[in-house]
Amino acid sequence: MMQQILTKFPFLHLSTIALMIFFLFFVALLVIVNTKSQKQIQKRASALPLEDGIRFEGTRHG
Amino acid sequence: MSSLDQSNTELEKFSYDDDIVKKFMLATVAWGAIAMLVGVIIAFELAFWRLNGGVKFITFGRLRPLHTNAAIFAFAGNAIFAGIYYSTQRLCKARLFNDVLSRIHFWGWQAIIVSAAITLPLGLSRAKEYAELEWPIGLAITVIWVVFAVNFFGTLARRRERHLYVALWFYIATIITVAVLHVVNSIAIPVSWFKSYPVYAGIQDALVQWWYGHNAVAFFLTTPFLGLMYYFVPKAAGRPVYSYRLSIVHFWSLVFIYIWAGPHHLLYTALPDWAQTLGMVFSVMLWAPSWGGMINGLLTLRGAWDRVRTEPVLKFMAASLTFYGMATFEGPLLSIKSVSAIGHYTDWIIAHVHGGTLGWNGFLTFSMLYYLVPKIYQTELYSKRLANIHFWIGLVGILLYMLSMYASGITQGLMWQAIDAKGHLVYPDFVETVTRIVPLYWVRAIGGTLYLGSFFIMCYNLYKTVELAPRDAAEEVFVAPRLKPVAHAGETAHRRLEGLMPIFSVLAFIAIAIGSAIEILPTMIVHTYTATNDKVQPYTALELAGRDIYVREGCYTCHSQMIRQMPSEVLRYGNASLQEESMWDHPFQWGSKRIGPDLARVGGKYPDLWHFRHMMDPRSVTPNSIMPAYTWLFQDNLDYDSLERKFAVMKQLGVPYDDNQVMTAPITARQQAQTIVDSLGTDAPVAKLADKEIVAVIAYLQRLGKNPKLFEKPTKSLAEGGGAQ
Repeated sequence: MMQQILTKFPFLHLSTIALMIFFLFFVALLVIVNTKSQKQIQKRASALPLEDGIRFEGTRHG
Repeated sequence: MSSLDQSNTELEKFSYDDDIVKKFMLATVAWGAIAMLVGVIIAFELAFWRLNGGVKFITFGRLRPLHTNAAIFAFAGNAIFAGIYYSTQRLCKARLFNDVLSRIHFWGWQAIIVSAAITLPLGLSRAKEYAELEWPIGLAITVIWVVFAVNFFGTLARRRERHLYVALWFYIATIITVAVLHVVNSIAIPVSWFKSYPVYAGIQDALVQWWYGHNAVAFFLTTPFLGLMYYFVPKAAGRPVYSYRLSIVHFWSLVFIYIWAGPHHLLYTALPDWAQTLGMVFSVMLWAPSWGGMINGLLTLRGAWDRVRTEPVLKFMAASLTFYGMATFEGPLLSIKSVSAIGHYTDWIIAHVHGGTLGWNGFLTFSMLYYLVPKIYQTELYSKRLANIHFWIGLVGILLYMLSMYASGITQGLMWQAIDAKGHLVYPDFVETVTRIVPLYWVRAIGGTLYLGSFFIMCYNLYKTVELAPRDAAEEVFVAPRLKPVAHAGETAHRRLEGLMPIFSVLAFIAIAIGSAIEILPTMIVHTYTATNDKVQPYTALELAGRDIYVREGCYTCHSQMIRQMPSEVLRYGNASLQEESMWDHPFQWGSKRIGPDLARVGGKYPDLWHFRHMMDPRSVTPNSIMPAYTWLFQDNLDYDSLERKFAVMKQLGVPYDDNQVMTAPITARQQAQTIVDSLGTDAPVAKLADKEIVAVIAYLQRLGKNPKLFEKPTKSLAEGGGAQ
């Protein structure tokens, strides 16, 4: 009985809910990343790897 | 410094810990050489079976786990740590959290790798792919991973840059997910210091293992490398990421979807259909985020394409992203059931994974090393020409490797499935397919040798670069304002989230936990219905001893024990495998590759003497076989004394042995051994044969598939309506 249930797995609502969570999350993500206020932040964030920090030109310790 | 919250603040001086980066880079190069050398050796062993010279420590079965573990955890692992520690410090504008923790992480990880390099050739293996290391080493991995996590998250907590850059998100997902995968897949009960049995069995173990196995690829070979890609590609190209927006969508989609894909390793097996379908569907969905990431990486090179031709760093990066795109196109393709029917168990999969590891992981690591070594040692690369030679020889090596394995894999898949008009197998003898592909094994070995040779060119180039480093180079000091808490007014949700490291980490955990729970939890209880039936008898003591030898020798690296629900498989091997048949198998031995035939129903197919001769000299019973001889099984004594403890652990795991069976395990094993020796008679001239390991191996092989009650048709009594039709 248990084998049959788990093999055929009629609990489709579980995976459907998971998919819906993902879908809703995905749509929300698209909305958030496309808001206008994000533009400047994203522009700066995209260049973060190019910054190593400001080199201190004073005394160096070896 | 442009953040509002960072203005008007006193500047702090700090330096980066690049010494630890140097250490991990050196380890990357050293272990990379060993991992690839072992890979080349086992490639030649498949082409030329005599190559192990009769030495048990260097057979394919024992070296293949060493190769995979060294490639993944030693070569790629050390590369990841080098890249993460370098980039995290710069992205956080902070020195690593604790120098001592960094050193514990480094030396601890190297000790783990050395332990693996010693124990795997000795045959101390759990027989779970990419998780073969025995429990004490598994515990050490957990401890060192926690050290790494504390050091990483501590650095984030001390950062001077408010925004957590997307590369850091990928690192966070890696640290959290690898911890979960490793702990869940490693739960086992020790028998001794060097032997344990996993708590999972059969189908449970298969699903947990491939949930782990697939996500080891996802979260050890993909997400950290994507993080490195998001840092080093813009850095080397001198251009910002093409689309930060795309990177956000890329991250969350990939992390959520990847975790579901494990069951595509088990298509057409005894795994429940729903789990197979879920695995397939989510694997196909992976196309989108994977290609989104690849396109984002490649388009970051916009405006720098002219330099790709001349700069080895960019050349390796562009090629690695191309290989990533190819591998992530092919992966979902192979997850489609009808394609998997041809590709699974064949060399096609070997081509696929090596496209990913050699092309994506390897080339990205090389580009990182070519970038980092001159940078950290404050000098120039010794020779761009040598780096270009490395690139082209390596590329030809990969292509030879992949093309030969594609040809081999498709040949295997088609020959195994070929059925004539009368419904008979066209190639009923498995060895026919083996002899057909041996020439391709030679081509593969040559391709691997080229790749290894080109790797040594890089080693020389980097060594000479380090020699060029100025002797009096001073450690660079940087300044940045301290990060202060600020109000979140006016920020969007994700913007806030990016600054809140603990909440971000919890959400990443939830993203991977949803898929994991839905796939694994129902399967965890699938055995409850069989716990009381007597259709599948547990192994006898001697069979269990033989099984442990099978595990020790890594037989699963060449032989599967899972007959898929396909006509050609049933014709060749017998009834498709059922869930119940492996219900007492701790660990499961379904395998993932058929260099030799499936063994799920080999029991009773041949007499004991056939197995005796086969293990002594495979070609005496199977001409043209490429299996090495296992002569030490005829010399080494079987450890009867440990059987009581092994039975006790199995009983603890739920295998239905009673106390008497546990106590008398060594005695009953000796009795069964004597029965086998008697059946062999004078044709097996080995002194004290009943004491030798070969007897246990024969007992185990003869047991496989021998569960006649499983295939009995249910008989109904008259009272139940059995005579009504």
